[in-house]
Amino acid sequence: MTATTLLLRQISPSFVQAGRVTSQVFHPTPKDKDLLSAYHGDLIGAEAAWSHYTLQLGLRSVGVLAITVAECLAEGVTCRPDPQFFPEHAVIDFTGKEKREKKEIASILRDRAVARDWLFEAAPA
Amino acid sequence: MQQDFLRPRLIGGRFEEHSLPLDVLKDWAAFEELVVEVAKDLYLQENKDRKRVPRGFTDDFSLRLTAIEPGSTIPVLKRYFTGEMLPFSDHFTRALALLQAAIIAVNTGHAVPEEFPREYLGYFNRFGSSLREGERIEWTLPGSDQPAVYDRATRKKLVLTGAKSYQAAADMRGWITEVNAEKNTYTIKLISGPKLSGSYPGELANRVIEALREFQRDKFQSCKALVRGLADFDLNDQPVKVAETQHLELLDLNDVAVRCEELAQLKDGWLEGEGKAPTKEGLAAFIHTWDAASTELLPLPFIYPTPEGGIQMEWRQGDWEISAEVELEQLRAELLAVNVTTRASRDGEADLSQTEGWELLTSFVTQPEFIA
Repeated sequence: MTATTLLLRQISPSFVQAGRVTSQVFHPTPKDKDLLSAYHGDLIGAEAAWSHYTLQLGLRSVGVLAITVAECLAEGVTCRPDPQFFPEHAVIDFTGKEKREKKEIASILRDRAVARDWLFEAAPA
Repeated sequence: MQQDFLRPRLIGGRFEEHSLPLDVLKDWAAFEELVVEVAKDLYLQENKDRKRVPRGFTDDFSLRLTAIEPGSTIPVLKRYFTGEMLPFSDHFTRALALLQAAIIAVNTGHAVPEEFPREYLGYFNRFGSSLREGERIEWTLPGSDQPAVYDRATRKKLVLTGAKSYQAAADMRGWITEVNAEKNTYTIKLISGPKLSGSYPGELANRVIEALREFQRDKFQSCKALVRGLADFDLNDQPVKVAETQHLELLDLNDVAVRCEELAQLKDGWLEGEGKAPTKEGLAAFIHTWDAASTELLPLPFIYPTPEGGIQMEWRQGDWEISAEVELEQLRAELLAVNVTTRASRDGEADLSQTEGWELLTSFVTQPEFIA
């Protein structure tokens, strides 16, 4: 994993309104326990990650956005491979951040990801 | 000649302003027709040798709205008739009494009186079709100790006594997915899922076709239409058909009511198995307070569910990403504005059940850089 490694995030349909994505996409949920899941972009492409997520894991995603490791580090969150669930699994670590801090970081990461645009968009259902 | 026929009290909702909305007038036209039909039936029941009522039977019955009195709203309905005085046993007065008996019966869990002609129960689809939730009509006839209370629920019970569906005023939001321009018909796919067919008057043709174009053009299908009119509802209160299209318009991409209706469809577990769904009551309370607040200066928000069962409104103003996470039970919002270039940030709290809360939110969203 390098500074330019892309971390791929799957986007829940409920987190998109009129094509706009919420900052919550880059905020860990209670179940994440501050470790936000992503696909390791050096090991898998956006479309293949989406197929794995929707077809193999059976979860819902309308597409893939991404941030780089460098963008995460700039906001004070570290990233690492975490192949315990599947080989391409990675995490963005929010451990130790306060609630407000996490929201601020999520807002900035969302901005960086949206500026990069969708890496993969699913066909409309 | 003329004489008082009925002074019903119209109570609740729009009637509290002591005025009569114009769309309510058609309810009273239907009421008049209902009284006439029931009176005719009473006559024929008593004169079994006759196949029709005597010529001029209905000349003695014409209702006119002569005044509107305060006390909620009380339309004064006077009856105009030929001659100097009415016969002792007047079929129209008895028809009104029978109508009152039918209303009281269904409200108290009893059957509609046997003498009430079943084929005319369908008239209740029209009488009261403009009534909204919380509005009702009341009257008490001389000699009666129980008032007739007529609201949406009463109307539904009366119609369903003689049919499998009933009509009610409805706002239907969704996508126009099909149009048959030759037959002036269309299909609307509701946000809640069902597809309803309806027909449209010629003057709405352009809007219907524009709504279909938007549905085909927008890959996110975020541009929805509002159809306002009458819908047929089944026994489970599910809409099955658009009975009358009175109004159709394309809605704003960020229409708050539409978005909340979408979020109301979520089920627990909506986010990868976790994620509490926002409650319908909470969303309704939010829409109510949104509608009541002065939000003209507040840009329309993007709204998303939160895993905790709340909602999050978001805006972008220049380099500022602004969010308001709303807990729906108390309508309290946590505000955060982040400048994605400078990383400057502001936070705050707003009580959206109060006017001041909306004012604070509006300043926060429109001028985040000036928030202390």
